[in-house]
Amino acid sequence: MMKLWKWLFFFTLLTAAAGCQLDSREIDHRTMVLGMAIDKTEEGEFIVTVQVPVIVPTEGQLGPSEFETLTQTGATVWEAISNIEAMTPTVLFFGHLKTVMFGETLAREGIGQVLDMLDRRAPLANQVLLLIIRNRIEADKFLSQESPLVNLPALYIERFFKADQKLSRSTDVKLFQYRRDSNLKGNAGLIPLAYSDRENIFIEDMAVFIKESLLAN
Amino acid sequence: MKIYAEQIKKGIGSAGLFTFTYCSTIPIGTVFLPYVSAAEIRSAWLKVVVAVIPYFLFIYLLKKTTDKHGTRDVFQLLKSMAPSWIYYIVLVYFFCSALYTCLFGTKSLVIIVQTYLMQATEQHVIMLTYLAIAGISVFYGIKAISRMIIVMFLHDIILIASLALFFFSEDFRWLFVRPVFDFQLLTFMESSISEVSRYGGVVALLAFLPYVDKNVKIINPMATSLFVIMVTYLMVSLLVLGVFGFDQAITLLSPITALMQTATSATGLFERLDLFFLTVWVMSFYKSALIFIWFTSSLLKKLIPFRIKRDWILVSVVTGMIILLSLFTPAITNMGWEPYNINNLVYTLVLPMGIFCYLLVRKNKGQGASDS
Repeated sequence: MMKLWKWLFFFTLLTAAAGCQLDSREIDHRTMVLGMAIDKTEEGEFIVTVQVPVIVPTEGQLGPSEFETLTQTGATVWEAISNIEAMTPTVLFFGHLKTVMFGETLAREGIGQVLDMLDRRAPLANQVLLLIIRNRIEADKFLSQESPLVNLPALYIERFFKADQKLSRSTDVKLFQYRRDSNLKGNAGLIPLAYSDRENIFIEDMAVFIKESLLAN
Repeated sequence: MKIYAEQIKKGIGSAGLFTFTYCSTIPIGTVFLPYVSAAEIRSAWLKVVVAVIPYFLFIYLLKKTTDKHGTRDVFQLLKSMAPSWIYYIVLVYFFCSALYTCLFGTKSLVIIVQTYLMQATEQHVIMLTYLAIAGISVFYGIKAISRMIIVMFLHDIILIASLALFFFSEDFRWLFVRPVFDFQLLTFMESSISEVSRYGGVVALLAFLPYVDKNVKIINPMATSLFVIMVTYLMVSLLVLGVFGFDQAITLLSPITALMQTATSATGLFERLDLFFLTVWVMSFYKSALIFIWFTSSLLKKLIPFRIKRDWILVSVVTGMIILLSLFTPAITNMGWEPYNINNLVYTLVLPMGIFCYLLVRKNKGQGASDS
């Protein structure tokens, strides 16, 4: 009898211990964000673009991974993100975010507050790669630029830096590295630059930031 | 349900004493290291080294006291040698402070879990499941707790050893960890109190020592453990400052968790390895909860003038009190750290050392009797 009670107690506890139930979400209930681009309009509104992978089934089997880019504007980055979320049936999940890109307009104005917001978001790993998009192309257009070499632009950026190209004229800068460097006495930081000619993606040179604002590239 | 010493035939060994000392102190001391509620942290790594010295004195006096009187039950000694009203005031203060520590530990766990793991789950759900499991685990008694923390201690060591790899990474720079002495006396004092109180968990040894095997020499495991704790704190402080720099480190809720996030990981299954480390960290909080719920309930047992046969009742009362306090108090971010740190300093260091000194100057009862 005592044994039965023990087992009953054990299973009751097991049920009660499922505290993560409220947070558990199936993978198809999440929209994995792999890349994010942030810029500013002439009116001063934030333009936020996110890139999400979409698995397309083809003829009885899973086909190649494709992606969608969703763009919205808002008075704050949060507002723009919530506007994007209103367009998706699932919840935006930033846990697998690979890269964050900033348009040159925003970079010249200052990226300090935006980075602070991103760094304080716990689900977002502080090792995401940072990139500045030259004015030759808008940040949202850059993010949707497909390369013939790698399907997803966000993954292209990650692969580029992970390959550690010795001849490249730029180097990877992660979120925590930039934040650390720009918090030092000199308040200076570097972020790699990129642009696209609508056919290919180019990552070269570094942007110099002083007090969170783009000084030179 | 065998919880207390008289029911244990063979005492706990030196490995048990070592891990108990380590696990009673590490989780809450490390999780916010070197964060000291916006106080000065530039030289935190240096202060944790200095702050351990009073606790070495603590264990030295503890050993002297137990050696002199031939018993390891300090509370029993105090009861027999001090006026009973002093004994009860001291015990009530210890009990309330131990509850305060349990409350702070629970709140810390809740904020870490809610920030990094379960954003959508209500605080009370996390709190209740955590305390229910910890409370029920204490029913199995100190010997089972001791065995469990030895096993889980290995997790801690793996975690700490993994973090040590940061010393060899490009992200770590010695340039950021140079000591800077702030000349603002008040800030310096405040942060020093925080650093000293990180070692406060060792107070639970006062209730644990009577269960240690009589043949075990207590000073060596305790001193070694305290040294390992200091090395762990030192390593975490150096890593956090070396990787993030002072200005960024001060904005992080849990620098050690951010450090884990920084770990470069492979893609695919192990992409967010930091969340696995975080789970190990949560287990570490469980160990600490086991120790402190047991410690608080053993204090309650000493406080109650009549004998309660079923010890699980005491554990349930203590766990219930922590649940109620946790539910009806604000989150840790809205609570003051200074009162907690100062109280921690008094009840884990100043008061026990006062008791040791008092017991050392008093004559051994057996010795006094033979003299007369």
